[in-house]
Amino acid sequence: MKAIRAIAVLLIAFLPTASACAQTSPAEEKKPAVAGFDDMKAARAALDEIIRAYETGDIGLIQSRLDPAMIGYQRFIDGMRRDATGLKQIRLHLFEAQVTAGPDVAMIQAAWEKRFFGVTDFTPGLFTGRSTFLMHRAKDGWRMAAVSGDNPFSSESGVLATLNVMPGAIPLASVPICAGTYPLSIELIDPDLAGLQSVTIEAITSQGDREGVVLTAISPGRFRRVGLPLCQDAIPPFRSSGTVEINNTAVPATLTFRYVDANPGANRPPATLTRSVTIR
Amino acid sequence: MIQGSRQGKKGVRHGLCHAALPGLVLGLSATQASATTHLADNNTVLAQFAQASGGPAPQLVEADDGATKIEWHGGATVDYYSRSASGGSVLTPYSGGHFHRIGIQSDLRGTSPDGDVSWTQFALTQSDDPSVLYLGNSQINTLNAGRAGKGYRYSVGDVAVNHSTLSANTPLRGAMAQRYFGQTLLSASAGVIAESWEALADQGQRRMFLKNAYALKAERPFGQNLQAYATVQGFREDGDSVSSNVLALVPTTGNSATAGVNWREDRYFLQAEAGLSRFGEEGLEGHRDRALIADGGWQGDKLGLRLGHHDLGRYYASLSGLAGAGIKETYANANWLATSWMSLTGDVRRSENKMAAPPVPPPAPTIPPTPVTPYTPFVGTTEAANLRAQFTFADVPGLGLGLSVGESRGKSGSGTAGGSGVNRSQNQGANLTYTKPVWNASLGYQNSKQSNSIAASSDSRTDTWTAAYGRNWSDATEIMQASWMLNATVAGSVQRQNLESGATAMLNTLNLVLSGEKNSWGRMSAILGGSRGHDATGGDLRQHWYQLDAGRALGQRGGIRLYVRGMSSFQERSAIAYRDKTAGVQLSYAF
Repeated sequence: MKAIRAIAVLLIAFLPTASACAQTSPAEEKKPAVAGFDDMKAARAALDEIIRAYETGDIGLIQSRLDPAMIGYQRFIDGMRRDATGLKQIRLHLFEAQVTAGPDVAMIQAAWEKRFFGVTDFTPGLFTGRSTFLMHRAKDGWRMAAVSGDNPFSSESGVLATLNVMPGAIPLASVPICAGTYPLSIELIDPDLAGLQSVTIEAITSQGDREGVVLTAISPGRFRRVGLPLCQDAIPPFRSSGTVEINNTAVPATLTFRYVDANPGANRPPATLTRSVTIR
Repeated sequence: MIQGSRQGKKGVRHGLCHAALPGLVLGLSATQASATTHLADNNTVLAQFAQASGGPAPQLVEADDGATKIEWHGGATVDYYSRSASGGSVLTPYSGGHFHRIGIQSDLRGTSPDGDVSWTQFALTQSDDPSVLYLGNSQINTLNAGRAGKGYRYSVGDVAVNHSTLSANTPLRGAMAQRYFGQTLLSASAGVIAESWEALADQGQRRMFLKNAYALKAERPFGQNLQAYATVQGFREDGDSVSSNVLALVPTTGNSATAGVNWREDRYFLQAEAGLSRFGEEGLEGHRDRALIADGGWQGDKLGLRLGHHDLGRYYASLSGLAGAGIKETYANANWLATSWMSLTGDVRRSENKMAAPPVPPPAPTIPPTPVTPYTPFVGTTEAANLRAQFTFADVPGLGLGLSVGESRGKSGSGTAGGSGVNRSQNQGANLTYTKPVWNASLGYQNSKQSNSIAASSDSRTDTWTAAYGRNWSDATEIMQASWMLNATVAGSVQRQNLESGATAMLNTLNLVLSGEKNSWGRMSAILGGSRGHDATGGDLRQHWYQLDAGRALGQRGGIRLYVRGMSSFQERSAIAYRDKTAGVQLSYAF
């Protein structure tokens, strides 16, 4: 943080003097290029064209708009083809768009919602995310160079998962005596897992219990479980017994659910998602 | 657009830039490409500035020589519309009600006599429609001020950091400066990566950690053909910037350094960069990783060749959106104008997705290892080839034929779900087009096959036929431009998907588009379309949509637009039925 502050201070100090002390340079003959709203509008139009092509499954058009040197080109294309096969009636809605433009680059930040129907049973699905679309000015117009953040186009390219657990606190009195089931709702949304029928996440208690919890797909990439084998007893828990056991002589206790998102997007390495529930 | 200029014995000095441009400008902006050009003197421009911004006008300082040119693009659009919608949030982003949307843009620039440009850009959206702005009812779309001239550039606000592929390529809310020292260009940026200005100011609007970041780059040429650079950058996520119940993540840090070269000589070119990084998650052990990219080629008159290799570790951490971590790929690409009537584009590549490998569990001493679960239906290693050909026929002007064929085959590495999963994608296509001055037609066919042994439920073959016919009418002659024109396009498609399970899905679509313009009236467009078919369960699919849009100019700077649009989907199936209808008016003012 010290380095960041120091650089920020240097930058601010540098600004007023930059023009005065600028020296002769290779750029001397060039007129300064400053991006305007027309550039931003053209970059956004190029992005919209790619979005419409993705919705209609016209992957060939998108392929023709990409630089073959794009990092992750094949993963991106294959992911889109798989989406076009497995997800029908795709509608990608961009909102809260902001544009940052440089001389030959435009960076469009936007939130998005992707709606679709699964091909096998036509179950509706909804993915959400936030992306930065990097657009570069090429000889023949604006081209998409990369998508960072959650990738709305290609499930395979990584979207950060969402893990939700309800409720956030459980009164011990409502936990059944072993063995029993508690109506706990666990939902995992990970578009990267579209196509899988189930996912196992981990439940850990502060009392030392550790269990695998299987969530079942209710639509592509959305997994849910309502009801967890959770019970209370007066003895220490047994690991991997299939039931989360709470020693009622040692409350309050914390029940933590953990999922490792191996491909979270945003150029982020595998990320660990956790949600905790307090039992008291 | 307004453009003000003043020249004379005592020109206007660029002191304007120092006095006024750094201030923010609230103005009305140019949203219509058809805005007319109007020339006015400085006093008029400054008076309008004051009126629009509600503050004092900037001062122009006269100098002994030279001239200052002020350009101000400004405008506003106001939409008011009513919408009815049904279906729920899973099916449609729209909700019913009466909404408004206001867009304001301003781009103020001053050019000094020696060509230095100062600018202030601002754009704002205000709306009560949640499908436009989900959190809050106003958003700053662009906020940027800066100055650029011979050998230097600096800006504050929204800055686009664009250093190199492996280092920094990201929007930043902060400051950036570039300056030449002799032949060496130094670039520095620092700021915060945040979802929006509003999220930066209000914790309640944050859904991601604020990320403090910096980036430095030094670049200089060596001779005429070689340019070398080195970069250093880092980031740290602020763990307290988001309340714990919003995000199930731990904050991270990352630092990296890269070095690269750009070389071009005659018809050869090469771009190469290598980087090292360290990534850490709070409370966990850090990861060091590396990245290397090299892209080169040869460009002849009729033949262009490109070769490249990218190898980025899965824990490579940078500030670049271009640097997709966990990718290892090698490719060759060629463009060949084989004859005057045929061009070919070929591409072969081998790609490894390191993200498909099981994630490394968190170390035991800090958090008990999370078991590796079946993680992804996607494969680790892919080999792919694509070929496209474009034909033209000299004997039949306007006739063109495009052919494409491609295939990729992948397999899972050991340890992933399913162990030895196999993935295959094949596609072929042909598109015939014929274009005459007043009409055009096209006919296309696409076929694709997808299979994936780990997620086999959607294995299928899809055939798609498309056809389109377009016609235009106008009163244009060889010596006169058209005073009116009318275009009509009808397009249809038939798509059939056969799943390996034996089920079949089908969708037939027809779309009609009419658009016209008459000089003295304005312009209009109309779209009418529908689709019929059935899904893989046999359920009927019926949709129809329409849109009517008409607009005309109001004076030289204003405009009015009326629009009606609607979509109705699957009304006979209550579980997935949704529809929306919108009617609205838009007023715009641009100068």
